Amino acid sequence: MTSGADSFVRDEAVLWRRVVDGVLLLPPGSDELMLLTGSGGEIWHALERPLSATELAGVLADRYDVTEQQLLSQVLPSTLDELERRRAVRRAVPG
Amino acid sequence: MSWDRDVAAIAAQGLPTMLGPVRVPSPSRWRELLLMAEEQGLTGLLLRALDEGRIIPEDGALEGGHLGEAADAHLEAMAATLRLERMLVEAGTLLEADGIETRVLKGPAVAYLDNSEPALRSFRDIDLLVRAEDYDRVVELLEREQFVRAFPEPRPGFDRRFGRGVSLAGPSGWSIDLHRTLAFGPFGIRIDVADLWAGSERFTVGGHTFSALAREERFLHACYHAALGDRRPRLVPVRDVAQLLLRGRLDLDHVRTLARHWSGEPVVALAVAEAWRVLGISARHPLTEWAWSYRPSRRAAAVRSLYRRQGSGYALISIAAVGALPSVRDRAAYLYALAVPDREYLAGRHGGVVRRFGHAARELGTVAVRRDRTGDAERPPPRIHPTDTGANR
Repeated sequence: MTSGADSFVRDEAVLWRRVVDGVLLLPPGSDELMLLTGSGGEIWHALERPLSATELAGVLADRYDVTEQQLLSQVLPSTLDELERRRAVRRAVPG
Repeated sequence: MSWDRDVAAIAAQGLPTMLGPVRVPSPSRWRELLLMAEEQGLTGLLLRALDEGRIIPEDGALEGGHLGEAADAHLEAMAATLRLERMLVEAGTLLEADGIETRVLKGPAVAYLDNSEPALRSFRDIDLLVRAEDYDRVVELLEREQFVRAFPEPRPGFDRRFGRGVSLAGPSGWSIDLHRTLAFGPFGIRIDVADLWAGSERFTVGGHTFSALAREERFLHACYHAALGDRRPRLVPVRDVAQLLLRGRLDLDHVRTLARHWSGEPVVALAVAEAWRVLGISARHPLTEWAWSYRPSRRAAAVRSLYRRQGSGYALISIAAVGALPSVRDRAAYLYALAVPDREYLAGRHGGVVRRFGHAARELGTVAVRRDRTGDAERPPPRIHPTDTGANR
């Protein structure tokens, strides 16, 4: 399970486009399109450069009026794990 | 030939246009506009027009749901775009592994290099330029990946030597259009393909770096596509012409030199004048001043008109191409291939040799009695509050 210190970045092999509801992705090795809406789209845009889960929580907390702790304990780890599982993002060397 | 004014206004979204906002008087008109935008690949620009208040509903014409309909249409277009990019990456990887150099044409190249947001530029197939000496090898490699030629060539080697290229349908249902040059018929034959390989501009898709034509050649290709690609030009290539010109980074001397070298000035003049007229562009530009005043020779105008004439068919343009071939030997080989094509080529087409000549002769006879009506597109639009772009060197 992802911890706050783990860093992630977009997988550069992902094909993607901005759409009205968020971001449409076609990850490598899959024929299944993914639509990231709301905070999912924000995560995608934020991970243009490597960020740790803690840094990502800092970015999102400002936008969604929640605490970083809430994001780190309740939302981000599972979201990042799922994005990694689907090869939309990959673990990165901390910058 | 004219476009629905409102669809043209959508296509001109973001450009300096005299076409005002689109007024939508009824739900049925909204449905009509949405369908036209989908058909023309303009869903991204439609959404931008909605977002910027450039589509004005009247009396409840857009009662909820319309933004969702437009968003769904664009989502579908982008889903197709991503699948096409997947095919591009796979084909690009395959050809690169075999040492084959390519240039990505149109769609993805324009989306990434000439648009502020790639999602604004839809495309429906992948176009790749390859060198003539690599052509057969590329077809072979793609056929190994279950790509199938849409049409057989008249005789082996015809496409590589004389044609624009070939369309290959992939196992996913999407197509790759392989190009040897940028247009078919006489205007395509006169392009010096060496010019297309002299430079390039790179862009990245899915972690893979591709080469596109250099900027000026990319603009010229947009002109050829808009002017010669369809009987009625599609609005996306028309917009490409205007957008590439208005971005203000073209070396106009180089554009003019290439156009002259390719005997393509009639094509460029038509494309530029038409883009300004159809999209109601208000900005002045040295190349549009030239396009409006350009008068092609009677012969060039007649040949150019063949690409737009209803009922001309492939045969008439093919015959017109003979005069563009550089040598007697080329002409002989070309005519022989068309006169005595392989059996596979004839299947489902004109049948025997005599019937094919008869078909071409009837088309020639039909053209001879028609009056040439080219030059309409070159009449400059009324100049209302022109704006100097100040974007030229």
